[in-house]
Amino acid sequence: MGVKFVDWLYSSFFIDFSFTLLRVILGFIIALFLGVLTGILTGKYFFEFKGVISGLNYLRAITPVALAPIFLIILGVSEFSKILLVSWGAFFPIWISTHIGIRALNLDLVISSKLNGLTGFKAFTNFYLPAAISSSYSGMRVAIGISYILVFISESLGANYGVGYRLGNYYDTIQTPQMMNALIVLGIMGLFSDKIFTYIYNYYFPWKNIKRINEDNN
Amino acid sequence: MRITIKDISFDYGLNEVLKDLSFNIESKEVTSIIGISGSGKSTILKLIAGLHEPKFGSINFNGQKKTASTRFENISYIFQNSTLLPWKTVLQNIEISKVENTPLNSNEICKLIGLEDFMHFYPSQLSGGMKQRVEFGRILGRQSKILLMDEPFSNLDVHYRKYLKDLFREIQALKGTTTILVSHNIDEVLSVSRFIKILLGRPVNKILEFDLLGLINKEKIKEDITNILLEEFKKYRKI
Repeated sequence: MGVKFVDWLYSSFFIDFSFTLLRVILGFIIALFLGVLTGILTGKYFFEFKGVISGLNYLRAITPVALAPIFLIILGVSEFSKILLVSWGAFFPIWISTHIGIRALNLDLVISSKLNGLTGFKAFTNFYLPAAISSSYSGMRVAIGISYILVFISESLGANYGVGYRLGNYYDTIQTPQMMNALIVLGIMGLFSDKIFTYIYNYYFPWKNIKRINEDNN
Repeated sequence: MRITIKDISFDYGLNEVLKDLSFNIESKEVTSIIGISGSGKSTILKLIAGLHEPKFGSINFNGQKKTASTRFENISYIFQNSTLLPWKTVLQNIEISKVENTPLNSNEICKLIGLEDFMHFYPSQLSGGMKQRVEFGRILGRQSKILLMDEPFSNLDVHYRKYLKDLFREIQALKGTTTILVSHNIDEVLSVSRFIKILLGRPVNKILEFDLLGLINKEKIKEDITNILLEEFKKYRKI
């Protein structure tokens, strides 16, 4: 297994690694942006429009794994289709956790923010956005895991590079040690992505787990 | 700003809280509202703040009816539980609610409330009493004409309760804000208020009023208020 890994390391490892990482990062960032924004909108402004929330829940119920071939047929074997699939899957946990978080905001806190002059855009940036980021933390971490599942699916269905592509390729040709290597790499990538995300989150948004940050860095 | 409450009725669905209730809140004075638990003290504050609309009746400010948004500009509210923004530090919480042209800057306010060493701390790092002091700090940074306080001293230790009550009295003497205080603590009410209003009935349909100006024997009035509340409790404890 070690020898096979060294072989991979000297051939296409860094390209595979970079492609997979880039697809996950881009897909996740798009999902993060859209998920938080949609969560604020549905939680604050559109919660009475049951159709919007039901529609999103319907889309959430469709497993993104089943959508992978459809994305491939419609958008082709492009980077766009892979990134979009990652975004699609990562979007829903972020959206739903943000939506629930905004709906569950303490009413006194909402009222107090209004009485303290937070209205309009000032309320969005100083109140709803931090509240949304705070409440969607768990959803974001779930989304990282889903991103890796979907990048593997999309790469194994059609790609030239990527850890997922390599894993699918090794599986098809029954190269078990190489397959295990790719699997371990994919797991390590997921683990470190989560650790790095947690570190960045706690660095920029320390209010939520401030006591826990002092104790450990999980 | 004089507040006139006329024939207001309010309910939370089947729970009727206020019925045809009328009273005035005098301008630039501290008025305390007391009553037994669940009598609707906090509801009255929320109605005045425009956070609830009365089912019937009207609330006027200097004889004028105001919309909720114009009320927000003139009202400061200290809630029973902390409403500090968890993602802002002490200094930022004061800064964000501060209006321009206040005599004190945010750093000075932090010093005044005794939190100069904690100004970069988040609310989750503070005790309940410290949070309440920040709430007072926010009031110092605003130029509100009306101040509504729901059990503002309840989470404080003895030392800071006295300190903040003194501070509140000083600010009140200086600014002359129309203040409404809701509290269970009769001693607290007697120490800071000019007027006391006791809510009577279920739903509340009557108010008993006391003017404490020039009153010397506070023990007597404390005993009277305690007896009235005790009678009310006996009458309505089954509800």
